[in-house]
Amino acid sequence: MSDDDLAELARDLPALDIDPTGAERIAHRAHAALGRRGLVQAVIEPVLVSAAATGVVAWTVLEILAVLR
Amino acid sequence: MVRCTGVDPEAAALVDGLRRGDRAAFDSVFTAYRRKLYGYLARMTRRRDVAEDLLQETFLRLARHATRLAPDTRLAPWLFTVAHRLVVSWARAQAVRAQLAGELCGEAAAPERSPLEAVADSQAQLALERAFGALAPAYREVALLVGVEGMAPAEVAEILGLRADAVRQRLSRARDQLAAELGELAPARPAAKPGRTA
Repeated sequence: MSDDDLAELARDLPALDIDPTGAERIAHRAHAALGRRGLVQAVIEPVLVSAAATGVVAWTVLEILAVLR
Repeated sequence: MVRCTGVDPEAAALVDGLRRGDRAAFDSVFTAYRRKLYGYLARMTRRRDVAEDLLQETFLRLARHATRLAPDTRLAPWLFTVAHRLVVSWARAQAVRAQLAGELCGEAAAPERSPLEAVADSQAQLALERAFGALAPAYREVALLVGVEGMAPAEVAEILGLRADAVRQRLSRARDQLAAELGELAPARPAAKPGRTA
């Protein structure tokens, strides 16, 4: 059997499709998620970045105060 | 994930739309790939309910990742890569579940018609569906991606994370097993032609 024969066989496979209600539900959920960032990007990442930035600022302020004393 | 330089303008426009979070572009992609992905997922899991869940997860991942797609993303390999990974995860979970339950793992054919076989219109289609179902998942996957989706072995290799020659080997075994399963129903032409290469 060649690749062409395989393709010919595959063409005869019954067509499968999800039912329209299921398709509509998936599309609806995907629309809601479109462009929305996942939990890591939307929540955890900003929290970590904010914490790191705050830490650096606090450390800088403390260092400046230590020098000024 | 899956990128290249030669993307056709229509596909590039869809990717561009997705990157902008455009619903119309998403709907076009959904319409274009829904049946292909569902067929692949249903034939890999042998369960329509699981296929529906995995199809949803595939498109949810596309939706969440849409704005971060590279401009030269090829959608078909991207979507099939996600679908393949979901199938692998599902199969692993199934194996663990079966082991915990002390059941014999595997895809032993049910005595009655499977939901996939029930859609067959003729005995030939039924035999064909059963022959594909009888293939080991690794061979079935390659046969579906090359035979049904018309992908080149190199493209399939990219999706499955394999070398192209490993894909060609699996494809060769899949063809042999299909021919053996189908017997007289298999195309009678000799397998002298070289395999499709990328």
